[in-house]
Amino acid sequence: MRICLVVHGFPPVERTGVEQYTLGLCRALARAGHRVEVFVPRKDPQLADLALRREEHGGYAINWITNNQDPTSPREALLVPQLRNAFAAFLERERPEVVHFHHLIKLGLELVEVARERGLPTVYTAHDYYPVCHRYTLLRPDLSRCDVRGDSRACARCDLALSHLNAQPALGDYHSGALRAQLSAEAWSGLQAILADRASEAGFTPEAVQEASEQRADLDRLRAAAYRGFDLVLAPSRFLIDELVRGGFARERIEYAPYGFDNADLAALPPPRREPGRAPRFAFLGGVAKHKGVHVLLDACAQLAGRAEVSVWGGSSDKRYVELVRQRCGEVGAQWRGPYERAELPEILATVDALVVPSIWVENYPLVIHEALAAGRPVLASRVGALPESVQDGVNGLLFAPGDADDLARALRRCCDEPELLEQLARGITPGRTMELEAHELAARYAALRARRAAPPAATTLPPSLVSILARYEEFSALPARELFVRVLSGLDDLREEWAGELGPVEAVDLLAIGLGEGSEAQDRLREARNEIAWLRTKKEELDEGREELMTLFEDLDKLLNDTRTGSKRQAEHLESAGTYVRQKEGEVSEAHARLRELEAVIADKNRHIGQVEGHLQDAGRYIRHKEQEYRDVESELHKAAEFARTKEEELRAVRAAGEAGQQKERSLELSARSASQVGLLAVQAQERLLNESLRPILSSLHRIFAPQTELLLPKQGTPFVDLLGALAQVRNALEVLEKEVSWRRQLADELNWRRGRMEKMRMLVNFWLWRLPLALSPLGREVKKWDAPPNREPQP
Amino acid sequence: MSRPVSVVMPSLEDLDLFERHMPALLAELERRDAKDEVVVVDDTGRDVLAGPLGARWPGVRVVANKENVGFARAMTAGIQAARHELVFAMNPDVLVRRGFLDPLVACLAEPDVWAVVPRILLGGKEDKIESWAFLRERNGLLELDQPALSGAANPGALRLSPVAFAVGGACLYRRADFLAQGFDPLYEPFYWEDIDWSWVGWRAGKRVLYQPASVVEHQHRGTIGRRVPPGFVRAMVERNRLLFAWKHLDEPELQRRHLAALYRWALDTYLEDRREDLVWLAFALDRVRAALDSRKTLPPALLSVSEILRRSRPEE
Repeated sequence: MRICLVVHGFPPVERTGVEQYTLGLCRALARAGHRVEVFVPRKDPQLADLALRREEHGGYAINWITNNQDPTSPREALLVPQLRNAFAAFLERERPEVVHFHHLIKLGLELVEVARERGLPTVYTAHDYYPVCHRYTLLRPDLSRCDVRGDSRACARCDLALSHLNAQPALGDYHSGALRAQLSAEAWSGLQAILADRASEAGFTPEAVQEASEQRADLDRLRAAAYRGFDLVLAPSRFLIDELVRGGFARERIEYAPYGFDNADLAALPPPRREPGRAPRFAFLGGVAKHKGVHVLLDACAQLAGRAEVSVWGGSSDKRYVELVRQRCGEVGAQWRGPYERAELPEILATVDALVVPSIWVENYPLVIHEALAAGRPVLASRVGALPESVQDGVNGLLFAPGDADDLARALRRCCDEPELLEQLARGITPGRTMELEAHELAARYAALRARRAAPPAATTLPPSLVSILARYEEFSALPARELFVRVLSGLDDLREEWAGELGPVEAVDLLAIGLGEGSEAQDRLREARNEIAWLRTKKEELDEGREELMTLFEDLDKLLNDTRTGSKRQAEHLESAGTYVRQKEGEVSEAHARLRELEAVIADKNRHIGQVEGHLQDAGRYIRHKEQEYRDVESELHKAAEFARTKEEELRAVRAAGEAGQQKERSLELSARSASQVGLLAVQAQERLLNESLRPILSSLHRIFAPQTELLLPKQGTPFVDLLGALAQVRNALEVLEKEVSWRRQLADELNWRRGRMEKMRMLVNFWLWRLPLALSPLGREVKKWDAPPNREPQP
Repeated sequence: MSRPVSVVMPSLEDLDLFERHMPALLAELERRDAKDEVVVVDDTGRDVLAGPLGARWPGVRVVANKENVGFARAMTAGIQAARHELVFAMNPDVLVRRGFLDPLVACLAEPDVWAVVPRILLGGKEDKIESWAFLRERNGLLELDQPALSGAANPGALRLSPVAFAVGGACLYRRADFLAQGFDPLYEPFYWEDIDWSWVGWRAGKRVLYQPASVVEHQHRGTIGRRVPPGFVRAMVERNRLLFAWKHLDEPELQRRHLAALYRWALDTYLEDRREDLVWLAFALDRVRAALDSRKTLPPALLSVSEILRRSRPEE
């Protein structure tokens, strides 16, 4: 029969239980004459994704499908659509008659559908609890047992808890579960809060919790549909069957099929014997992972005070835990041995009196127990999961409470105290099932499934003459491509030999050379493919360059977002202080504005006074000039009068000379000259008085401006005209001073305007950052928004 | 009066086809008034045609096989039952056009004409001619070549000309010639037996003609294809194509080229994951012994394969 085994890993790449078991099954089926093709994923950075490499191993072949992509989400861990077509092409080529799935992680649920679409019988062996628990183990991330089944909200809490653990650097690269001692009090408290449905205490929003629940419900639905679609489900333990049934599987669809083993090399070991005085030798063998409970064994070892030898063999990807165990071995006097190969097992078990399996998870069917039993070594195992189905307390081993170092220490001490106990338990070991037997039973199951699938066809309209030829065609169609090729080559050899009489002897290789010399489609396509690959590489390089640019951009954006998110407080403080500064400056500007307005008012008042003074001065000037003109006119009149007097004197003298009668006339003329001179003096005095009166208000105004605190000294009545001109010169000097002050005030106003402009730019900058950063609606943003329209922005002239 | 013809039709349960096509045939035979006959071979093995056909067309003779024996043997049974020297072999899915028979009969007046085939229009379309058909050797493999089937105008298809073979679904030949050779069971259940039979004629120095003046329609409906898995019909065609080559290729150079092509084909298909081709090859090689046995029964050929390939094509 042509059998396809599908498994998530295979030796030598992966070496844990399921992989080793599948290898043993392959060999046994091949020995039984079946043709086995293993379909298994692996990472190989040297190969492109989906590259398939087939390795022939004499009766079975491993088909490595390359998948270098790691899942980035729970959905990607469950569904791997890129493998769908590769698996379909593999089935088309190899034409298995049955597909037996051993695991779907790294492969995707789609593969089941692909096999079913081709009408192939499908078998699934449950090796763990993955069909009902996405964590495989029924353990929660705090390593406590989970008793909930089918509740997506509870399962989503595990998802959230894992993402919580992902953020714990103390766990290294392995975040599947944590011991309390590995986490800080705060991290442990957060983990417990999440698992107790109080995820908000660990920083998860109600929306995030809801989203995780919905996603988990969706994925659980997909997983359940795929796993319930198998034609036959096998389980190696009754405990596992019960758990699958609890998880929704129909009991009648599951068959109990304990593993077979290929442990002939171990059966030859001599039974353990306690030489007198020698301490019993216990060993842990297997994956050094937290759920395997190695730390429980070491805690128990610490209580033995050196009465027994304890060694730990194995390794795992949980490097922090491995290191913890290694250190703890040193502390409690146990031997740290590290990883081992299956081939070394006889040699290792030869140095061991009993195996210890201290698992804290519900173990299913650990191979190492049956390897130890095959070697005649009793087993001390946790009373958990399916372990009691392999280890019968007091018969072929001892059982102790899971996770209970004290109880394990009691069992170990019992072995120390009772010298005959281990030999007695060794005698209670019965031979295990062989892999041959399992392969035989499996083949019978496969055949039954095939027979069920190949039910007699319904009444057909096929003409009877076609029945046999059609059957022959279908027989050929069902053959793997490789076998078809072999048959074709064999048939062509027959034809060539038959024609040899006509052709003469000719070798197949010569004919092939002739044929290929005329051109080969495969070669053509290979060349085309090379060209396409070269082209694609060029494009990829271009894309890579573009991607790098994009990545740089994204990094910048991420950085910005990160700065915004993680540093929002600092940003806010920074902005707040900037806002305070801006507000302070705004206040100062407002005060400066107020002072400016006051100064402007003063200046306006001064200007108004100066205007008035100027008006007065102009009036006074006009008046003075008018009076000066009048003075000059009076002077001219006086000159004329003096000339007239001189003329009259001459006339008088002429008259005197003329007669006595003229003396009277002389007196009268003399009197006229005196009255004219008196009139001129009176006019000058009137002008002086008028100028004096005009200067007085001007001097009063100037006094208020320049020296209001001093006594006001005004020109007295009757101040001569020359002195008044001196006062007038003082007024002019005061006006010049006032003009200078006005000029200085205007410069001050310009500077204030410049400062206002600077403040405006600062306001715009703050606004810009507020809108770039998501702070526009913050109190700061609202405050800054008010700056947009400050009152009375226009500067005063 | 024209020579009478026996029209022989192997059939499964094709009553609907008879209903559509028989009236035109009977009308043409009546128009000819040459005492032609129609022989239907019931190959269902259940004698289901005699009743309805007899009731509908009393002049139609029905020969019922006791069991389903396939197209070739059913045709042989029908021809054995035929009363006339000239036999028009046709499938029930063929619809004859008026005047189709006389040009064919005229061709067979020539003694060196082995068989004559009408212009067979696929689906009744004037530009899809099935029967202007040839064989050619390319890269060591024999291929069927039907240049007028593609719809492209081809003036040569409107002239009386040699063809490599007479399509078994509608052609005229002599009863005695057929019974002397019959269809080679190598090709059972169907396909390429008609080509093989025509090739026997060519090897004997006879000719196979294409007569465009005679027109029939092939209302193909792929009845077999609906009764078998997808790919089976194509596999039969490919298998029989190879069996034909292994039976007839008679020149060392052709044989060498052919063998070289087969090795290359096998390697190419394997490397390219073309499973179907590998199935065809394996399916054919499963019968390689029978082909070689059949090859041994061939009488000496007057014409080589190369010569037949050359002569069976109208000159360019």
